[in-house]
Amino acid sequence: MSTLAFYFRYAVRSILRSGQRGVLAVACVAFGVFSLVSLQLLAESVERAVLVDPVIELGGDLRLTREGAPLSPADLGALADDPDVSAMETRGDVPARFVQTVDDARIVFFYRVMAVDPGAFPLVGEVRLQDGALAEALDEPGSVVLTRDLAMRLDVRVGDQIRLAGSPGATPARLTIGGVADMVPDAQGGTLLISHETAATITGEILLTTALVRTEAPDEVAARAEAAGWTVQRPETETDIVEDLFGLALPAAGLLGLLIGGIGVANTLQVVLRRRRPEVAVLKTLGYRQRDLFALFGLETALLGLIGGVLGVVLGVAGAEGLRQIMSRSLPMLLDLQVAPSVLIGGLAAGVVTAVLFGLLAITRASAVRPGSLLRQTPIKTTGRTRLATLGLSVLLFALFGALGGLLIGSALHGLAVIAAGVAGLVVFGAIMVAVLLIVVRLPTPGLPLVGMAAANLRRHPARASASLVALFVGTFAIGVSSLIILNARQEVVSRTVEAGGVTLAAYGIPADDPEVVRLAEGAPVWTDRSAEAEVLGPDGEVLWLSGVIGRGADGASTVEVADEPRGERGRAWLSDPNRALVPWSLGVREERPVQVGDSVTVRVGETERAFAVDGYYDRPDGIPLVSTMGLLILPEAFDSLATESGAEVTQTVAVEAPQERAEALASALGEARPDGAVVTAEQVADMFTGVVRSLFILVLALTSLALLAGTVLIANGVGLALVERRRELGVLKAVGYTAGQVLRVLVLENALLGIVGGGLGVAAAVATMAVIEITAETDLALYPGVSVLLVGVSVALAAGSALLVAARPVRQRPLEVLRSD
Amino acid sequence: MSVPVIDVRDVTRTLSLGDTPVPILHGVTFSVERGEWVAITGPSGSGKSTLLGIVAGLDAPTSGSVSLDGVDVSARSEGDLAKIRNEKVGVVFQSFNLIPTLTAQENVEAPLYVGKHRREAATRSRAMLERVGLSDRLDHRPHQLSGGQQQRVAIARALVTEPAVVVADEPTGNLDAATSAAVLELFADLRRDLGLTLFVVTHDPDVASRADRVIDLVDGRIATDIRVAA
Repeated sequence: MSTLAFYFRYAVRSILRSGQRGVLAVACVAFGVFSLVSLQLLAESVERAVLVDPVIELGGDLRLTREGAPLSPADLGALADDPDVSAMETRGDVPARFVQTVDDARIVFFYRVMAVDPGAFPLVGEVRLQDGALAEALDEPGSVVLTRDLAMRLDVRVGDQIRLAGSPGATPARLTIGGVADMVPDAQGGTLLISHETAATITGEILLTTALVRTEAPDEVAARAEAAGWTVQRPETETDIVEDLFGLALPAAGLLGLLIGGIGVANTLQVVLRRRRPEVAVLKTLGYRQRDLFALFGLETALLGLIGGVLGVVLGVAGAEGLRQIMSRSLPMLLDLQVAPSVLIGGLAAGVVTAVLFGLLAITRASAVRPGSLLRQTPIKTTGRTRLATLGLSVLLFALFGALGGLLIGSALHGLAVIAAGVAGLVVFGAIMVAVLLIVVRLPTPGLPLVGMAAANLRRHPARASASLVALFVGTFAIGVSSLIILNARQEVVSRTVEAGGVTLAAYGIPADDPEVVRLAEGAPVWTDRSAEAEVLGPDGEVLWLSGVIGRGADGASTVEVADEPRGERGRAWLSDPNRALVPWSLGVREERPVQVGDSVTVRVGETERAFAVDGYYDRPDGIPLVSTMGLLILPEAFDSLATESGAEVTQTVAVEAPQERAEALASALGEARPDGAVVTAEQVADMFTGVVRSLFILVLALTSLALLAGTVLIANGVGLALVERRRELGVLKAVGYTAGQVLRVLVLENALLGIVGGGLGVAAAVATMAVIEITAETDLALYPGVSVLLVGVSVALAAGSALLVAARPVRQRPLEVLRSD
Repeated sequence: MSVPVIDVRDVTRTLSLGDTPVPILHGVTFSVERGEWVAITGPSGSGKSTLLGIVAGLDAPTSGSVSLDGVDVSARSEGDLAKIRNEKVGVVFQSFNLIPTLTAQENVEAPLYVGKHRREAATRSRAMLERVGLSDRLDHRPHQLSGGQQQRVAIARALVTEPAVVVADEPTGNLDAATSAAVLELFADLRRDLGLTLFVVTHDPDVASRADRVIDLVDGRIATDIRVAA
């Protein structure tokens, strides 16, 4: 057997025998590698979704449009005859408002419909269906392909039917799901693909406005097209901001996770090797030199790193998939997780290198043990020189780790900067935490002798607790801030639903005078809202930011609050003059030329223009807007006359002001009575928003909980170290009459104090952050004292619990055993 | 005249108890000839183990000189001392100090992998374990062996590198009377067959009675140095 084989066998046996500590060391490496791999994979998939190839983003090599006019057959014929054009496709806008399941009326807003013809013009970019090809999936008229994320949110599969509320005022289309796509060219989670034929049945006719061109000679084709009067759009390169944000920020967070894992490894190995000092002394007695010990323990650490690395890579891939699923529910991107072998190999290598680098600190310390300690208890002498050497080694290790980080995230400078910032943060925050801890443990504890003893123990080596304190602080702070922000956001959504009052149900594709709606509403107000897209010009002819014009009578007055002055008392009577209009109150207080009562505003739809005098101001009350709210409000008769004259496309919504508790039943009854229409309730919309908020909360909680987990590991190690170092002292306590329970209580109390300090400071910082946000954003935020108490409680429970878990058995050892073995 | 295998000249050793220096050895001088069995006796705190540590190259004297097989070991670097411990000294402890994760054979092989006999590690260790009567316990871990067997493994480990001297700290301190007698018999056999030089620290008069010479330490000084009649 060679020396290496002997070392290998020795290392494997030591790992197998290391028990709880070995598991912890592996867990630390796995934690670091998990963070790195999962966030790196996620970053890559976000990057792929956000940084779409400009050609894919554009849809072709060139995008051609005619200014303000649909494409004529002559235009298209000329383009088709261009010898440099290899393929061409025309596109029209398919209006889209929401999709809804037919069975249970689940609803998703904000999506994009792409009418495509994959047979004639293969889509630029990737379309990957879970099963089959796009052309086949769209073959049947009325078929639709939707993204995996949309299918997940609607809980539908191939063969199911969905309603697509698209064309304003038109009956929603019923489409059959022909396929589910894992990837679509624009990498947006809310994309639907339909055929041109299906699009024509939805919109009546597609108004072709755009031609997409594939060509090998874009410059020549563009020049000829521009000469023929086309407006030509070329692929544009994105800025680096997004790349910086996702390409670097997420891997950097992963790198910090690896750093925390590395500190955990150093911490755990310190405990492991502290326990094995007699073994180190024996090896030195047998003639093992420093370099032999480095090789032996280095191999052991590398193996721990390898095991942790494998575990971390597996968990990292699973974690990335979990995070992707959560993100798919809350973010618009269609994330495509591609497990690149380079990330896996990098993760594995990172695990081994991190374990070895951070293990070196512990190995250096352990190998300083004198062989004479086998004959007599001799402490390892820490001189100024050894302290300096340890500091130097630490700096070197962190520099090497920074270089590793640079390698992993592809930027040496960035890697070093992240590690330097992480280490500086640890040092600064650690110093602050320790300072507070020292104040806390000096507080008098009259009548609480065990607490006093715990405080005295913490006073001995306060700096040792700094990493645990920082981890608890970061964990509680991050969870605190994210919880408070998300709880406030959720409250906002809930309050809007509750306070919506007015319109609780909206129906599309149902005639305004449908008697069934009135019958089912059982006396609740039913009215019809109309709106149209239009340009609204201010008193000086400037374009106002309003989306269009809304025709609404006094029966829809509950949707807004009206006042004579921009900030005046709300509750004024509705419009009575068809030549007058209401504007949003913010236009009355804008810096440049506030819009005043009596001013003239002009609505322009196509060639038609009509002026209205400003009659007053409106404000949108809290609530889920089921009808249009951001337009110029005029009376229905004025709207109808304008729409008729201009030929504007009118969006028509039947609004029902049913009591909140009846809205769902009414929606269900109306859905059955008028299956071709689409019915939406305020509660469904609120559920969609709260669902998004909940998913975001879970995502943030999943990420921030990692810090608390790291804190727990560090505390468990701290307790393990205390049990080794204070073994004799604990034995003496028991010898003089302390029970195992009392000794255990002291240890648990020590760590509970750490939990109180770390968690308390974290929560305090979170509350302070919220206060700053409240002041700077001029908003009212609830601070939820219950959440703060709960978080400190979690921090204390984690700290005390891990201490209990580690110490429960060892403290039951008989005092004689302890004292004799020393 | 032959060179003594152990030559201790005016050795002192002072330890620190907090800030207080505590002198343990006060100018100890003696030498041990090759093949001699020397027992160091004395009351607790007399400096026996400290002296053993210095002789074995586990500790360094505060002043004075120690040479082992003709090599001065009193002011050596840690690396040099490791080489000397590997090649010239075999140490047997009261509490055996076997490495718990390794088998009996691997424990005996351990010093060979950092010395000059690494290629014959397996052959040598098996032969040595056979020599101490444990050829049927090669793959046993320390916890699977009795106290006496563990001490035999420790002795085999101390001898496997063919050291110039074997030092033993209370080698029978953790054993019952019958096992102690068997271990001492083994030492005697090995000394006879291999020509060992034995330097043994002990409280036990039985152990001391087996030695050629008994050096009694009191308060860090040699009180008596008596050659025992054969």
